[in-house]
Amino acid sequence: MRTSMLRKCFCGMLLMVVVVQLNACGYPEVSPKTYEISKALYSVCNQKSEERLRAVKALIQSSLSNKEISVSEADMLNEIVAQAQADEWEEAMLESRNLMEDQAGR
Amino acid sequence: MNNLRFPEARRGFTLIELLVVIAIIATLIALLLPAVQQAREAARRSQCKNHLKQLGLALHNYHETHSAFPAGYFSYATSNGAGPAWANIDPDSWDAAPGWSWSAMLLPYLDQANVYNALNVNSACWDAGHAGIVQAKIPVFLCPTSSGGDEPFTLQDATGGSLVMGGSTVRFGRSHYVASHGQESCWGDCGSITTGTIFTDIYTKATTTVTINGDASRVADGPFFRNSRTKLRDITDGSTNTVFLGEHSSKLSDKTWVGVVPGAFTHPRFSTPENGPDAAATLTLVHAGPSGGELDITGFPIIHPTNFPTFHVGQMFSEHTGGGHVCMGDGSVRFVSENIDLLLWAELASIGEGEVIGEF
Repeated sequence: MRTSMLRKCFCGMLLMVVVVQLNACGYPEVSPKTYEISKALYSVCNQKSEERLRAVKALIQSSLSNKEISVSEADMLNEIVAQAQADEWEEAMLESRNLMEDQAGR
Repeated sequence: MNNLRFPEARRGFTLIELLVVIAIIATLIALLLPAVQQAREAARRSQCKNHLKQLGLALHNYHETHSAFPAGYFSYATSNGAGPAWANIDPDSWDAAPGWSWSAMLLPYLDQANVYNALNVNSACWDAGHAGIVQAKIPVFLCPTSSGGDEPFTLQDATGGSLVMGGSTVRFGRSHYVASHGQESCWGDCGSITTGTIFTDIYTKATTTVTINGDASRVADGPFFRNSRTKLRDITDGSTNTVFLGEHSSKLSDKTWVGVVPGAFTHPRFSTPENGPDAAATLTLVHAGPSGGELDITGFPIIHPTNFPTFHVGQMFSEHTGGGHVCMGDGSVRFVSENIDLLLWAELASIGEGEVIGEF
């Protein structure tokens, strides 16, 4: 009884460690187009430009339609766009920076 | 007589006791370590700031003596790419001997007169005659936070192989500080490519075409470039509002206090989707962007402040958390955020474009 409880506890902790590690992994490798868009997104958020944000949003859509970026990449970018649209410019800027930084050394 | 018996003294700790003590010590270390590391980094930051301050003062002392700031680097001046054999003119960039950089010229003003006197500044900086002394490790050019090393390095050619000059490889002493070329750059394009595009207004994105013919001043809008002779009076944007020097950690690429060698290339030590090798001038100079009329995918000028995540070898790069130090034209040293307003960073890079500089 006690052994099975300990085993469950151990498995639970192991799972937690794996989840924490996965979260800390950052952004995966992205396509050149996604990289370009994230660079533009950084400058959009840096300048807090709503007009250019709309342009970037449209660009993400068209790039997805043209299969230049994958669905998961579009999701990542749209998440940052949503942050910016919620007036969280700083956070969105940092996310775009993280996305670009995570491509270094690949 | 009563025979008193005392319990036998314990000879050691139980395993549980030891584990508890170890756990307590580990927790205390875990709590204290970040604080200790922070204190150490704060000390390193102060030292780095102090180094830039000394470089700023040395620049002004040089200006006092020579009525101008030192050139970004000294190169045989040619308007057609031709010259004597000793000049060793690079056919693409038109970089040539002697190549001594702004930082080598500051040596007498940094208590390094002995090093300066051992150099023959009338000959090429890669000359075998002073091959030993140009490898000197000079503390004022080194940021203690930089993790990429402070030992001399071997110069590389375009392919990443060792650069050979006069039959031997060239090794130079390292520097973690670079001078600003301004917004624009023309590293490899300031020679054989006779015309270039420059921004006349980063807000309207207006550009114009200029004739270069080896004259970097036609492109550069910052204080330091090939054969520059910038005076304080030229800095009409205000010396307080103009970035002169900044950091470039060896973690990204090799920079030197010695000079620029024709045919040398600076290679990034880690790759990004955008960075790659750049021409010899980036051994000692960087730029802020935008340059050459380049716009991003949405039509915004490409500007790269300190630590911009494209990690170009021609940009400033610091390992201090959150940004990097810059030395302004008035000799003051400031810590600038890596997330500084991009247009403001571009404005701070040029010496006389008439922009109104806001708070930073």
